[in-house]
Amino acid sequence: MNDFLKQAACSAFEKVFGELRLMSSQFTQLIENKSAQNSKVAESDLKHMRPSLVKALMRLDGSAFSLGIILDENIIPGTDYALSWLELSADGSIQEDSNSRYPWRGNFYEYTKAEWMSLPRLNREPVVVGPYVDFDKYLLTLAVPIVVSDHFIGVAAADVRLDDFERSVAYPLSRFELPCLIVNSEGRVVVSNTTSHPVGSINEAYKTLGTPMQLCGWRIILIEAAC
Amino acid sequence: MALGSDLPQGVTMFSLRPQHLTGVSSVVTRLRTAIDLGFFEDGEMLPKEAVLSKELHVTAFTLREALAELRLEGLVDTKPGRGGGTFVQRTSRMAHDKAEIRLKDLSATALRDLSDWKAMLLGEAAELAASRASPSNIARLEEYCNRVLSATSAIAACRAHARFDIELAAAAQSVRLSSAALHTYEEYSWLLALAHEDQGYTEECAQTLAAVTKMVGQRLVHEAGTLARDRTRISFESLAKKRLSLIASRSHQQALRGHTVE
Repeated sequence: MNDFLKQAACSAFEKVFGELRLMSSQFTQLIENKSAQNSKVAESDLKHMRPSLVKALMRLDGSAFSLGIILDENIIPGTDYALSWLELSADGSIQEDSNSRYPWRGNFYEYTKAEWMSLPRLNREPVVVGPYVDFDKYLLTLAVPIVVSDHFIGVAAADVRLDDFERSVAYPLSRFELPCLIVNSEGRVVVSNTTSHPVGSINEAYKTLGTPMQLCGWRIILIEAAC
Repeated sequence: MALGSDLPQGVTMFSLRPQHLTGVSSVVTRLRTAIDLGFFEDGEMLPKEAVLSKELHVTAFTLREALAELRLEGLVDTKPGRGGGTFVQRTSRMAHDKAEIRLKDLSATALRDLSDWKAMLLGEAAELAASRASPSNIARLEEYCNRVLSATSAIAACRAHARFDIELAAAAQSVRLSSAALHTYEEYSWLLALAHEDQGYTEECAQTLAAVTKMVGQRLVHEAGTLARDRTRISFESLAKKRLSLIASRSHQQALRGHTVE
């Protein structure tokens, strides 16, 4: 049963990660071609990516509700960050959220300090960050590093609503008789089948209990009746 | 979470109340909040009107009306010609005077009610955060707390304070509390900025935030909640005094004027 749940969770993420890896490699290719001609990364490169981003968002079919490419600090000289970001509206239309010069857009937190940027920068590995509160949404953010000639330049990232992720694991999760949780590397509950261990609650002990999922330190925990 | 999934745009802080997003007053509120929360710096040029109206999902006409109102408030100034545009002027005397007039006109009940509401929000957020904050949440709380301490202006202190409150609600893992904290600032950032003009108030707040952060870090659920609740109420003392002295000085002036007429 554990395997069933793990498989559902991993395949939900793998679908998104697949698109992010593709976006990352497409952008890397674009930049490598440019640097062969001695030109630097510019905002227009982000614009060039837009058709690919639209296709990726369409293919994900609601598995992620927004995605894009976010460049790290000073990759385009003098900018804190630059991004090309698309969002899926409730009516199914795709909205552009493209410009780095309007800092009230997107995340309230500083982009370059956000964990979905700092962790891939540090480890050069894909990450799942969250769940976390982003103003009026409860989110998971998946990010894949973009590395060009051994330099980290930013991430290809996607936001997944926790509700949507929960839906993709609801069936295997509902089949557990015992209280069952998926927790992240901080010991925070991501999904659970019981209100006594609700989503968002955190417990140091969860960091070592249960079985690891080989996914960013996430674990599946079955709470025995004795607990 | 229900709030988020109902949004037609699902985009940003500006999308929090999509049902009200078409009127001039909502554009004024959203731009004012963006300025007050530090998304626009003092002296920064706003995006071109065409871009801004698209971003805000309103017509050019509505945007122009809203900008005119913000100009009257002294929050922005428009310079014509080449290199011209609409510039943020947050520190102007006009904004301060306007805030004082609004505080004077605020009823004692409304002020007390606001202090109760903020105390409840922060108390609940602190309690939940104490049981749910991760080390990275706490690191951010510490950072915003330090920004309040090291703020060099009232507006910078107010911004950092606002960010702290919203981060505390985020650390509590509550979408509702985080939205509520933001809405409170949408409505009352002018008032909180006025309070922060008093350096003593800013220092007192910074101490409270540091103490709350410490208790959240130590997972002292009850203590964090009680402290946040009590100190928030106390922090309104200076605003209450200010309000009363504004009313008093106005009626004193009127009395003086009355004498000269006689």
